[in-house]
Amino acid sequence: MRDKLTIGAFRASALTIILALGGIMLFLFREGVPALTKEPFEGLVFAVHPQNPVRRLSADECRALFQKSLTWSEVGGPAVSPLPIHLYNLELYVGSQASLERIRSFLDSVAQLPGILVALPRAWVPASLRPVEVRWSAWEALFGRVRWSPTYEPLPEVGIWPLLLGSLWVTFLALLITLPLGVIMAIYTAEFLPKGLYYPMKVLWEVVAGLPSVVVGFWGLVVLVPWLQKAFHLHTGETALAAALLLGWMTIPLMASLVEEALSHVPRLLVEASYGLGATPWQTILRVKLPAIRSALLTATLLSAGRILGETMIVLIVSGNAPLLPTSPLSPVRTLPATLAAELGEAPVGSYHYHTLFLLGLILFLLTLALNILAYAITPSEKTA
Amino acid sequence: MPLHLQKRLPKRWGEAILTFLVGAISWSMLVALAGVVGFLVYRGGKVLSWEFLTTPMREGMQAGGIAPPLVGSLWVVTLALLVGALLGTATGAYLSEFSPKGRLHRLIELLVNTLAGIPSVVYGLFGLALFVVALGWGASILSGALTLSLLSLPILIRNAQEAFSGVSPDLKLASIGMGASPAQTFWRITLRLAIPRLITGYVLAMGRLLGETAPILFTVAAYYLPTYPQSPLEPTMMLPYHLYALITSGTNVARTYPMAFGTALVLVGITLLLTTIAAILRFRLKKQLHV
Repeated sequence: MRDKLTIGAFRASALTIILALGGIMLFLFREGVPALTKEPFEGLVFAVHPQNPVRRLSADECRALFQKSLTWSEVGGPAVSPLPIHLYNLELYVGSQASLERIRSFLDSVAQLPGILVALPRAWVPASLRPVEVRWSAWEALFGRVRWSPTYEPLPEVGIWPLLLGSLWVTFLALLITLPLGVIMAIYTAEFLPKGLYYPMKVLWEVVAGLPSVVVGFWGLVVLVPWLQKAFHLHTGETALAAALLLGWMTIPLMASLVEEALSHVPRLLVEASYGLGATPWQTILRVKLPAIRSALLTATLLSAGRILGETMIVLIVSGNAPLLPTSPLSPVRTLPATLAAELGEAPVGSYHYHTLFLLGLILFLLTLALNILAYAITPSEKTA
Repeated sequence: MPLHLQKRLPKRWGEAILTFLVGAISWSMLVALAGVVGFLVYRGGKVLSWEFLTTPMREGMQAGGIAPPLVGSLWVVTLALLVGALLGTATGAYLSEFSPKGRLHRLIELLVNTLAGIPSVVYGLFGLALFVVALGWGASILSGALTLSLLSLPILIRNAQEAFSGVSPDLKLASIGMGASPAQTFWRITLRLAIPRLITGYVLAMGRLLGETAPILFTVAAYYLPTYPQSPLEPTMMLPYHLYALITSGTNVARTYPMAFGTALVLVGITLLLTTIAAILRFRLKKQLHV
């Protein structure tokens, strides 16, 4: 009886793991997918002057009209400059009935102007105006554009490429540090470190890996960033390079311990054969041991990449956070996790911005998931080899 | 000692230099760590005092102490660890002692690995969507603690697995041989002998959780709330987010930065202490295992 109870309870708690992962995926999809199916201007009606022949606008054209970087004549309208008006949630922000009435009469009077373009809740559109259809393609907006400006009203710009490429760029740069240094430290620890210093070295790794990333980011901001600024004569030292240096450094322990473990499991036959043929220790390491752990090296790299890709605070603090396509190690970047951390707090729950951020989270999740699955898919071949 | 396990020192000059270089690079890790921590001690030591630790902040965040975020962090992390340790240890016990090594076992292990690879900010998103919004708990200690407990599960499960499988099978078999049931063997033998290793894991996880920032951003952490929480459904300030707020609020850097250095020093001090203790304990115990 007691046996059944114990084992049942333990099994139940093991099953919560399935529940946890399932829950994470469910909620990421549930909150992220609406970014692909909804329109950011839900509840708003776009309308123009009745004599304006324009009936349809693409999201980009409409946004450009709102920004006045496009004229009506360029989209087949009258030869007047656009006069955009966008108001929403009027009842929420305007308290008195009298003010609301004044706004309504103001809207009725500007509705006479030929260049008028309004984005208003249906009940507020002056009756004389004619609605236009604004075509929003979520896929195009998310994956076909390169500007990230998700709070621009009424037509946000949600091109995720700057963020995605920013993430990949920083990860790549950080790996350039983690990979060689991690392997070097693993070789030293596995092959040359005096036995008494083995555990101190491992403790050192644990400690570095356990440093709170917000503290490392702060240190980077105060020490590394000004130094980079001076060294490269930059306007600001907050660059992809700064983030990559810190991230790369923090991930060395993960890389090193994975490689070190693999090195210590190289079959003794291989090693003894190498020594038996008169090879020196370094020849054995470089020509026998490293080739023997090829797939472990790849696994370690993938796992490190996953770790770097998901790191949030360091990048948020030192990378400059400019959502631009990265062009060099010295350009400021913004990554997926940093965007989530910076913007989710300000995005109203259920808004288009909120759903877009969850979609970014979903993409980040799928990327790291793919890296991890790939890493574990490679591992077993090592053991059978 | 077998030949392949002997540490061989290179005899050629070129190789000796290479070895020296590799060693120097490896130990530079220690130099870098000392550089980071030393700098924080140097700058943060000036503001550190008993008062800094025990009084609330004043004048925005430009003066006073860090007691509310310190207390808040301890609350959230302790609660997270309670939940995480319970679930993690039970799951670890199931995987290591009871589960048939079949498909379900492999699936759960795969999921644990997957959970370990999920970025912490994604846990924050999940916590926001489930605890804060769907369950309506708002940004609160409960939401934050449960989010962090999920984050700690992979570490705690693996640790528990290692702890339980580290107990000598002789003892387990002897217990079974004397007629004890598997559950009796677990409660009376395996669990008791695994306790030191389990505790090590809890300490390590606590160190990790204390430094986590991304998962608490939207689930619990308050920007400025110089009071102490009265119930688990209230938000609270926490150390990592307080540090982030001090760095970025930046209205008066000359006054907020000293506070930031003090906060960073406290945060790094606690996490370093916990991780170092846990790491040393763990390797001590590992050594014992191999003897």
